[in-house]
Amino acid sequence: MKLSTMGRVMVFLAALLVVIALGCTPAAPTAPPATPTVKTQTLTVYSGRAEGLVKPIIDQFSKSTGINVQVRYAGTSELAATILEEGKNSPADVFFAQDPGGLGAVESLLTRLPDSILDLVEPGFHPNEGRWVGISGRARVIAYNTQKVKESDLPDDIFGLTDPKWKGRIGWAPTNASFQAMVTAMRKLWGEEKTRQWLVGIQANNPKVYANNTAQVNAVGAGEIDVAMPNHYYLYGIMQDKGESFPVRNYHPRAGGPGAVILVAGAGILETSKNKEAAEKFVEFMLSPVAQQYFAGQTFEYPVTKGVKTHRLLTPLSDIKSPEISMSDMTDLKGTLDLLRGTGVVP
Amino acid sequence: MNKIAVRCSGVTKSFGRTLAIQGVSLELEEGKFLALLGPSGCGKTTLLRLIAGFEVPDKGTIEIGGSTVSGPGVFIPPENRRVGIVFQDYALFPHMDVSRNIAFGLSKDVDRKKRVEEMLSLVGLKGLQSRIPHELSGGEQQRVALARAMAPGPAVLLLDEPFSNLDADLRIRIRAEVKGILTCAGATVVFVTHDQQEALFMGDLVGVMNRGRIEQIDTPQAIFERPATPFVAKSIGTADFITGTVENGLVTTEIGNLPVQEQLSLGETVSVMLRPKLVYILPDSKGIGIITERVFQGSHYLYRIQLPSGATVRSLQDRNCSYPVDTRVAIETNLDHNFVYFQENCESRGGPS
Amino acid sequence: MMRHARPPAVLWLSATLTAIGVLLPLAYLVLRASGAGMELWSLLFRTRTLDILGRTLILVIAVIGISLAISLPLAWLTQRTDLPLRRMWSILTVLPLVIPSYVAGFVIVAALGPRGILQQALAGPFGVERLPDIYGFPGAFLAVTLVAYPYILLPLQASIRGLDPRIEEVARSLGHGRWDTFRRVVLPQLRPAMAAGVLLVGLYTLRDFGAVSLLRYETFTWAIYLQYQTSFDRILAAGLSLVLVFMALAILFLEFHTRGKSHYHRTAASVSRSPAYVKLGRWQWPALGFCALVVLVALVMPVSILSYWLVRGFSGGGALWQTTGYALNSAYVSGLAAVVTAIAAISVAVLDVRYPSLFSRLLERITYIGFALPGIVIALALVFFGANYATLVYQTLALLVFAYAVLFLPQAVGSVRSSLLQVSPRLEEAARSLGRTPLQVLAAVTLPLVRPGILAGAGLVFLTTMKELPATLLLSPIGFKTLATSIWSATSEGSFARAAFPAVLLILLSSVPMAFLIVRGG
Repeated sequence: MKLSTMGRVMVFLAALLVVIALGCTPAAPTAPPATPTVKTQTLTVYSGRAEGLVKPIIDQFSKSTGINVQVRYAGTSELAATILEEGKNSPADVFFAQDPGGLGAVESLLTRLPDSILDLVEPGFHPNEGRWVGISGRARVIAYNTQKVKESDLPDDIFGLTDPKWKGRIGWAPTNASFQAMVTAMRKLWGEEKTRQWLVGIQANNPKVYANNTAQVNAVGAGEIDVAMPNHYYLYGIMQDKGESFPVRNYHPRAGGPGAVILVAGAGILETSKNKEAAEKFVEFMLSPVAQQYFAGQTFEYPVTKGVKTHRLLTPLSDIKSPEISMSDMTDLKGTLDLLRGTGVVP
Repeated sequence: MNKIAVRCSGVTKSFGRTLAIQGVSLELEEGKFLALLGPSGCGKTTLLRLIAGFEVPDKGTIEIGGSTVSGPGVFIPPENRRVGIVFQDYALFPHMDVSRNIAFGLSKDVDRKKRVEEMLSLVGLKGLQSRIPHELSGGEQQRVALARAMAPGPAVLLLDEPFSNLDADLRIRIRAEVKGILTCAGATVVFVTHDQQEALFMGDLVGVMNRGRIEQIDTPQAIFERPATPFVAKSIGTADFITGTVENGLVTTEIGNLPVQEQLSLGETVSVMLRPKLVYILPDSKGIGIITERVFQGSHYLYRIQLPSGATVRSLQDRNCSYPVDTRVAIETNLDHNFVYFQENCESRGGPS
Repeated sequence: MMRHARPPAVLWLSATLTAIGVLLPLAYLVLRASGAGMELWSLLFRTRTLDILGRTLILVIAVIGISLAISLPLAWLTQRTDLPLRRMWSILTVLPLVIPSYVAGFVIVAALGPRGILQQALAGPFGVERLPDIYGFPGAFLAVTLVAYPYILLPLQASIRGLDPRIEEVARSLGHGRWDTFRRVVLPQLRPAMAAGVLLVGLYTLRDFGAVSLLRYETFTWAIYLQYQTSFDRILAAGLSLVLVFMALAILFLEFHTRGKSHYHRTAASVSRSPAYVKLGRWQWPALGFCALVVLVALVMPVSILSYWLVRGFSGGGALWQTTGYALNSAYVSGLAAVVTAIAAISVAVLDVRYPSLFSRLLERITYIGFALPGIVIALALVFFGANYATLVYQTLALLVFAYAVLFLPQAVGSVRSSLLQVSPRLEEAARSLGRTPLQVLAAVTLPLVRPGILAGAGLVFLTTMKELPATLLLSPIGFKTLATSIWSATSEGSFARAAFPAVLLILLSSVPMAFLIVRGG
């Protein structure tokens, strides 16, 4: 009996270790392919885009190319931080991000994409250095409650929201990456001083702060606020749920400017990837008409390649007076944050 | 002479700045009982724990069964010392039944079932083997603890205040039973107590401890008759002290001149120990003492008498010598008796040889 | 008490590994923050940072205060009075612990938001157009309290149960009234349990992200997340995290002081008698009302809103089947985490209680740091060390379980430790004298006796692991999905309906061991 109790503890511990070890083995990312001739490659993708959104199209990629894809889903910024921490040991081959900021943060770890890929998209949809490429476009809009506001009452330019008549009627999500990208665009287009004036002016109108875009648009629908500053597609997602009677519509500022800027979600390939060929195939596939059509249809985003139709509910890109701005300029988040912090918009 | 079961020499132990044990030496023969007697905080439990191996001595050596278990560069952990211990609260494993408790210390090659049976019948608990500790009475728990400690056949059995958790009348019965069990088993026992009755009853040897030292270690009779220090005198039996001056081979005190055996230097001040049994009183209106207290003890009265100096002595009188409080009495002592006295430095001299 | 015996090597090994695990995130933070220049200091000392610090402290203090105010009467009512259905209330009031704070946040927005369920209900009959704004402090306070107060209630219940009723009887006999007795005799005895609970609630509030971000109350943790989310600034995030560590250390220091020298070994038979239950009399109805109110707000409201979403968004069996698979993953990995954490906790607690030394005391304290840091910080620290120095285990279950252990160790250490304090060291010494080595004594005597504490600690770890999100997202093997990650991916796509099923499943699955723990403990 003396040893049996002890023995039981030991056996249990041993069993535990075995269980953990077994748990590890199948998932070990470092296991190299046995021989180069083996055709079943495995591609590792870090996706900041939601699983419900991209899984079907990734499955389609696997099916058509025979390349096995493993995806880690998490927030774009968490994944960017992860890639930075992993450094050159990152198991990721492709980073599929929700916004240019996340890609910009890890840009130094990305490899330059071949021109064959970059040429697939409109020149404005990739940064000059070509380390990542836009996969789908989203427009910044002013979402308004159709029962409380007429479209004609909305300002020509987003700067108009600083007018005191909007006091207590505005919502925004200043921690949202797309919002911050818009502020970056403002700095490029308006200059620092006017951007600061805009931020101060909006704050003077007591905007309600939301954690994300869905909350913002829902709040407009619920009448908590009259106008909000989201991306265009959140509205259509909600309308799918609640029907077209949902009393919110998007407005692209008729005079253009940073309030009408087109942003992108994009992807890049890591410098350290040992599967660059497959990774390139993956990015190429995401820019293929099939995938572009999928994004346009499922997520109400704007296609970034030519010849793919936008969703019927969307304002065609050609009708939006989006400003000319390079994607390279859109990654200067640092200056934007200093400004946002300086004006107390974000902590 | 029997083999020595436990030997301590010069054992010293301190906790931080407190000296718990100071240079303790003792020897205990196989099959003997040693009672460590002393007030709480005197270090007796620490000494027990040092022997058991729960504490590491700072200095000195401890031997059990002839081999050194603690000493310079040597420390045998408790599990390899062959000591059995019974704690004050018995420390029975609450999650095991009686027989598993008893079998706990038995090694694999022993016929456990048989040994447990033996121990159960030795302590008289047959039939209770599947009880769990909290279903047992205090006395039963005590005997299980004893059986558990004795089952592996330890070289020495250590008992830490083993009877203090029991009711008074139960305690007297149980200690007789325990003594019987232990004697019958031929065990060597060191036990700790603060109760002199218990020490006198159980111990072949009594070690009186005070402030980390053993002040005297001897048979109960020797300690009673020739206490080494006033502290020992008060620890075993009742004792009072009166001061006197040495003159012509006698000690002059307020109750008269008392004989002493050895030569003392003239004029020296000593204190003389008086046992109540040796103090006689008689009502006498010119006597120097006044009775201040009378305690009826059944067959005797114990009187407390105040002397002119303010000192008090006690006297044990037959039950038919009944005097009320405030009676003035004359005091006599047995002059045939050589008194034990202590010099200023507290060392005892004299006494019966 | 001084003891010169040396602890067994296995204990040392396990405790040292634990210490390394706990210190990794700290090392990471120092490494990152040391890369910062003046910018860090200027950021830290902006008035806005101080402002957030103040808000965080206010939230921490408020949540602790209200949690005590809820838990004390609940614990007393369910353990010491003739409250009808006592056992049921004692389980139901602890159950909100299983609700993830991000779910509580969603539910509170849905129920009490400007156009929430309550407003809709009031709009018809009373024409209420607007409710007082729930966002900001009120909402965050409510949401964090609802999921955190059981951390105090749980140890309080156990502590009141363990009180020796004779001590109260003595106080009553000395002429103190019932209330006076409670205040002067019972309350001081509950202090260690309250301190332990307050510690967990305080640290939990410091590190909570889900509820405060959904209810838009800017705490320090949210500020740290924002550094990652908006500026990808790991250096500033690390600097802010270190401030959080200092706040945690301050709370730890305070708790250590209130803990004092409470060594209370209970002898075997002292509390075998059950106490007399206090007759509530006409107070029975208010007491029932109080319990019902707490259960209604903290448990019934979230569960019914989730059920409403569930019913409304029911989308066929395929998704359900898949979610069941995630549930198995959740239970599996949480079970592993519970076992590993319990082993680490045992070594820490045994070292601290039985072999007190500077190292063991320090070790016990620092295990709490992981609990005060936002999950993302711990996760990124382990991403850094894992990817660069332990590639073999990186993105495997082993590292994930390790992360959980670092995050949730204090929950287990606390309960194992207090269990261990009640086991008399004489029992272990008796076993030693009977020929067992220290390790054998641990296995044969100590562990069986502290099993209730181990089970309770492991149970808590299991529950919190089920809810954990950031470490699970970043460190799990690729493709390993749990209930928590599927709630996250549904809500990140804005679909409450799809989040409802995994959320309900998570609550149900966590309730089983929770109820089991309480029933066994009672």
